[in-house]
Amino acid sequence: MTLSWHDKLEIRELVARYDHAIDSGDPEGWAATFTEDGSWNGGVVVSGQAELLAFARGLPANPAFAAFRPSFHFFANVLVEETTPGEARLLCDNLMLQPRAGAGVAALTAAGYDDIVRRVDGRWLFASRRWRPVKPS
Amino acid sequence: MSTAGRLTLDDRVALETLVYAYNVAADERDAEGYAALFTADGVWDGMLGRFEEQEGLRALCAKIAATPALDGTRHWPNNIVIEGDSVAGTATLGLDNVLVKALPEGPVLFSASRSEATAVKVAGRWLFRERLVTAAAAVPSPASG
Repeated sequence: MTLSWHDKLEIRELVARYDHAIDSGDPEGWAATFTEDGSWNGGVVVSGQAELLAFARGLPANPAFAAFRPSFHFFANVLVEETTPGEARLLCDNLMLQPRAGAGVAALTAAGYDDIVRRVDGRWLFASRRWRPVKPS
Repeated sequence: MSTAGRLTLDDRVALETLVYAYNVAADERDAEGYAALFTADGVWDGMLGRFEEQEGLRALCAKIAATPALDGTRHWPNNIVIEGDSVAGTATLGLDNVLVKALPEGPVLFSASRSEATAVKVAGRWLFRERLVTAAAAVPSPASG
């Protein structure tokens, strides 16, 4: 069975919901884009709804992420390939942008994501997200 | 499959196309085309003020064209989320836009904003009823300390 266009659009919107939730300071909304056992790997690994929510709630005070406040995600090049029924691999690229008062918008990081998404009760959610920064050669 | 309470694929694509048409009309300073993407009682509310109905929306486009800082800018949308009901003919949209500005030394990312909108289907066409735009939060620039 191949993914329908509805599935592909919903998965693309899952990325948008993830971006908007984290960028607007909505930890509950961000955690809700993951499965119950979902994991996020952005240098540190956070697994399960309880850890994901605690991590997101702690971001405003987390010094490791101070440089990214405020910022927003800007994604592109979404590719989705079904791996097993109800599960797919999702690849996309992401720029982390930060508006500077009177000085335009700076790009803080460029990265790719290598994710697994899973359909749970009719909704697509992240089973895992792995952030892979683009590094100079 | 029932479409009650959800958008058909055709409507979903049409609404995303409405987003792109809005950006093109604004970037081309096409006041007539821009206003035509809104309902007769359409509203735009944001950094440039509040503009209502077709005449007001044309005035908004004219104001954009008359703002030197916005000269040579184009919208680059992202994070588009669209929900709605094809049977009811109603939808909500959320998205980010980055304005890219063409300068002699090359394009720069000029500004960023968040848009929340409602749309309705009128005579088979999706149109914006209301569009609320807020500037993205910014950090002080190094020059401004």
